[in-house]
Amino acid sequence: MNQFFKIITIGSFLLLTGCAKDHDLNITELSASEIEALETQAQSFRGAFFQKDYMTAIGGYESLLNDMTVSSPLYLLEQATAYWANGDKETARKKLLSAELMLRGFYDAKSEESAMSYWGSESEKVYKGDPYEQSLLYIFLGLLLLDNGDIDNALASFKSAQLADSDSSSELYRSDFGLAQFLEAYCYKLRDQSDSYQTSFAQAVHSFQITHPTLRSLVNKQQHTLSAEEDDTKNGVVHKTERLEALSEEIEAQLHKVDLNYISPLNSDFNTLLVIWNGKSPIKQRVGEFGEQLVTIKNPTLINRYEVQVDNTYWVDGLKGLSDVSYQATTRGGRQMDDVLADQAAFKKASYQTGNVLVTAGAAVALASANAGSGEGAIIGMGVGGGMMLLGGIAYGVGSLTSVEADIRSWQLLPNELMVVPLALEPGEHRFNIDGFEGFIPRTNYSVTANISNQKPLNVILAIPNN
Amino acid sequence: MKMMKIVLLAYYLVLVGCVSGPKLSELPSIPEYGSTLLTCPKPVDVAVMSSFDLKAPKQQGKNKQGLIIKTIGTGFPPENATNILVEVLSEEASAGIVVTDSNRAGYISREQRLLIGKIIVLKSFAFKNIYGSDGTYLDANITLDLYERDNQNIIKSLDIWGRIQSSEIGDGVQKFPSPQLAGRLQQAYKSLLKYPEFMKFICNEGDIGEVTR
Repeated sequence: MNQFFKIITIGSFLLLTGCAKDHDLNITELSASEIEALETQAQSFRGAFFQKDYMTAIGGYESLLNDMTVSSPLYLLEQATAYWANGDKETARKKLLSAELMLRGFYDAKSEESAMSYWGSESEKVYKGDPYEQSLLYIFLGLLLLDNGDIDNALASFKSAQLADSDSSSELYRSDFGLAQFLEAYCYKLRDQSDSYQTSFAQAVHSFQITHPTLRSLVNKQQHTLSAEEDDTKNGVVHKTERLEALSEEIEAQLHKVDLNYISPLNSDFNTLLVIWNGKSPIKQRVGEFGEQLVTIKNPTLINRYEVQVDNTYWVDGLKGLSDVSYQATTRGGRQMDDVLADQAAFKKASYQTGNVLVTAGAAVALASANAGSGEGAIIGMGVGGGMMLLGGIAYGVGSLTSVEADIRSWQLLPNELMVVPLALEPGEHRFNIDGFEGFIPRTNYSVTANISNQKPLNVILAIPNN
Repeated sequence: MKMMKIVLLAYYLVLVGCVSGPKLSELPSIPEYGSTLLTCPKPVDVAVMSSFDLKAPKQQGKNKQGLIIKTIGTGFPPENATNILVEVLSEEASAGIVVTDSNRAGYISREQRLLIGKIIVLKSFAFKNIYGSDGTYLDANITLDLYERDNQNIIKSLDIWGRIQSSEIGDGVQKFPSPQLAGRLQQAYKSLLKYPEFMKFICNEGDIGEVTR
């Protein structure tokens, strides 16, 4: 049994036996403002990362990880990214494994209860990440496991990446994360499972097609229609499938127009994967009267393609369309958590309104009674008015105590998209000259060197451009 | 009664004047690009792209008098503006320009890129209505940057106008042209094909021919 399984087994044992209650984890309880304060600090370390000052970022996150908090999984993920960018793949892998272990229960609805017992009363505030963040955790982890020679656990990781991307009670949203499917296929290839390889590779190609810019709007329309029909069915309304059928036919026709020759290098024999980081991750912001709604905003980048010269000899393309992080982050429709937050906001608004009405009416009753004279009725009236004002104050207080602000913590040390270059290279040192383009126009260039080993199932090279 | 009619008529005229804006006695002119379509002697491959920050015209605020300036085309999709440029250049095949539809968010290979000689980047587009005493002009303005392959510097920047004019259908009655924004943009893009400075750049400064229509 390898180390990964051991870690999982120990983790599961701890969860099941309840030894990992919050008092054992020693979680430092944080208020919303304290969580915000940590985020403010993290923001400066994120800045250091994008300035390529990885050591400052790593040290900064270490200070944030001194105490176990509800944001620790997030900072572990970001620190892991900084380690990887700095060339320390081993520590990066270990940090990702730690973060994954902390969050595993939340990614699986069946074991969420045990995850909540693991985190105790703080579980509601734990950073869990959106599906796209969870998928990228597993893709990064899988790549680093492959680079470390662990094919079986890498395969499990790439499968988990797809599961995270397709979680829905109705299975309306199937994974279209092409990179996870392509890497899953590669693992099957290494395990000589040709049938499974073909299936996974075909899924990766299909994901490339349906997320292609020429098809995106059609596929989005199809998802909306499917979702609407699902709601209709729940409400007992008969389906109107003509529109859906027309959309499916249109999509089918457009699928064949996508240039698959562009991704033909994916189906070659290779031992190295150059992973090109492009741009910055999408950002989350609060909107709504009380900041109760969460919106994810794309972070578009000027440079949208790369060409790579290998060892100053031949050129290859950085392949797009397998891991468009912004697209993955913004095309899943409203997530369930938004509805819950909207209800809380409505409760807060109702509390404020009730409070205002009671205080105003109470004051009016009390004033009118006071003006009426000094008899028994006036005293009772003043008492009733005072009571109404008190109740109004309580209602107002309840409203102000209700926390409705959406959680905008996110794994910000992620790219806008990842491009990949599969390469078959001899062992030894190799140099990659990478040119970045805005469409047809050259905009930037940088170089990366890496040692290729013939002992690894896959040599993974992460290339991050100069900003 | 007659007085009442005069007052009503005066109100009507004032209202119409407010809605359509003051009518100019003389319509402002736009640059002339010639009436002849020009052509490249040998076919040339060009790519058309949207600029990174291409957006629909932005709603302006108020003018000096505090009146809201209505901006036309704020909802016009920027990608449509680029697609129309591709269509116009492609349709005018006799101009010798072979257009690559490259408005696909960078899904192009190195091999495809090396086929292209010149790159046209649509930077902005805007619309303007001009009401004159002798007709109405519906204008479109576009700005473009021109690049050569493997060079990140702008070689030329162009500011081009296109115009649709109302026509008199008798007794001083003007037939208003279609207010379609796409039609105005088409006119502006067609101006490019009549503009020697643009065509010389696209045709590699070679001899440019004329197509008589």
